[in-house]
Amino acid sequence: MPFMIGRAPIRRTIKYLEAGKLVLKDKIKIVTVNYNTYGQTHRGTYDFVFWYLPQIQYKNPQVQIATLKNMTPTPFVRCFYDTGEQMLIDTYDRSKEEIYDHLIQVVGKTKDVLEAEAIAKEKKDNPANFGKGCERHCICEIPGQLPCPGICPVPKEWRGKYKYNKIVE
Amino acid sequence: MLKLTPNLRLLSKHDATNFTKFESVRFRRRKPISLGTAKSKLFKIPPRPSQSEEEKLELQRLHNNYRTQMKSLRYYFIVNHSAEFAEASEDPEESRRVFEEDLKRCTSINEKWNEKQREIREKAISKQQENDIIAALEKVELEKKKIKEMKENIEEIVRKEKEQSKTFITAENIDAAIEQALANPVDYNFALISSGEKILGRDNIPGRDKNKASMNQ
Repeated sequence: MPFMIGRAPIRRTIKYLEAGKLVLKDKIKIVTVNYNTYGQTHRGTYDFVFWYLPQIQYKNPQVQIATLKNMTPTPFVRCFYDTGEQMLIDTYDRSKEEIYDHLIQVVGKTKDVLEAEAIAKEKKDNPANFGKGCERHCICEIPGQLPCPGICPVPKEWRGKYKYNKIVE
Repeated sequence: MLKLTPNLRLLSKHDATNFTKFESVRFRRRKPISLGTAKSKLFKIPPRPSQSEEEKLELQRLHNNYRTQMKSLRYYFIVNHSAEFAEASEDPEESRRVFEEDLKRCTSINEKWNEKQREIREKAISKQQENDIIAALEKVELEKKKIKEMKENIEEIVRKEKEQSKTFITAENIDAAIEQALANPVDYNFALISSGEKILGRDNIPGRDKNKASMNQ
C-alpha cells in the first residue's frame, strides 16, 4: 500500500508504532478483541482497535491478535496465556484511552521489568563487536584500522592477482 | 585463453598450480529470451518425468529422516547455545510461582474493573428499557388517537350519506322520477357574448326554476 493512502496513514509510521506503551507479558500468546462496528457503547473499543492495535502488534510481533466483529452484544478483550489461563476484560462504554491504560496495567509488562530488560539487552552488546545490529557496521570505521578494499583498494603487492600472476603494468 | 567451465577461465595455459590463475567470466553467452522458441523445437513435447512408486517412497523416507535429524540438531544447538534459553534456565518452580502471583494480582485488578463495568452496563440497560417502555406507551397512545379519529371520520361520512339517502331514487319512486324527468327536459346549452356574459339555455334554463329541474338528477 502506498504510504499516504487510506485512513490515518500516520498509524503506519515507525515513529507512531514505536511510541506504543503496551508490551504484553511473555506468557500471553493470543489476544482477541470482540466488538461491533456500530453502537455508541462499542465506539471506544472500535477506536482502540483503529488507533492502538497497530502499535500493540508492532511491539508484540510474537502475539497473535484477532478481531471478531459484529458477533457480540457487548465489547470485550480476551487474552490467552500459554499456561491455559485467560483474562477477560470488559470494555463496555469505555474510551480507547481508558481501555489502553487498563490493559497496560493488567496484561502489560510493568515499567520496572521493561527497564530491566532494556538494560540487560544493552549489556549483551559488546562494544568491540561490529556488523549488523551493532554500534558500527565495519571495523574500518575505527581510526587506525585498514579501510575497506571496496572504498580504498589495498596495495597491489598485497593482492593475489598481482602477487602470483606477476602481472606488470 | 582457455575456457574451463561456462563461468571459469584459466589465465595461463602452462601454470595451473593454484587457483589464483582462474578468472571468473561475468557474462555467459546465451541466446536472449526474446528470440523465443526455435522453429524446430516449437512443437516438441518433452516426455513427463516419471518416478516409480517405490523410488518415491524411498526418497520420501530419506527426506523425512533428514528433516527429523536436522530439526533435532537445530533444537539441540538452540537449547545449548542460545543466550535466550540460557537466561530462561532458572528454576521452573520459582518462575511458575512468580507468574501465578502476578496473575493473581492482575486478575484481582481486572475483576474490580469488570465489576464496575457490570454496574455501568446494568444501569445503562435498565435506563434503556425504561425509555423503551415510555416510547412504546406513547406509541400506543398515538395509535389509539389515530383509530379514534378515523372512526369519527367514518361516522361523519355515514351521517352525510344517510342525510342524502332521503333524495335517492329507489324502486318505489322510480316511476315518478322518470315521469318528472321526462316532463322537465333540461337544456345545458349556453352562449357567450363578447363581454364574457354567459347566456344559458334555449327553452328550459337549468336553475331558473328549482322545482322543475333538480341538479341532483
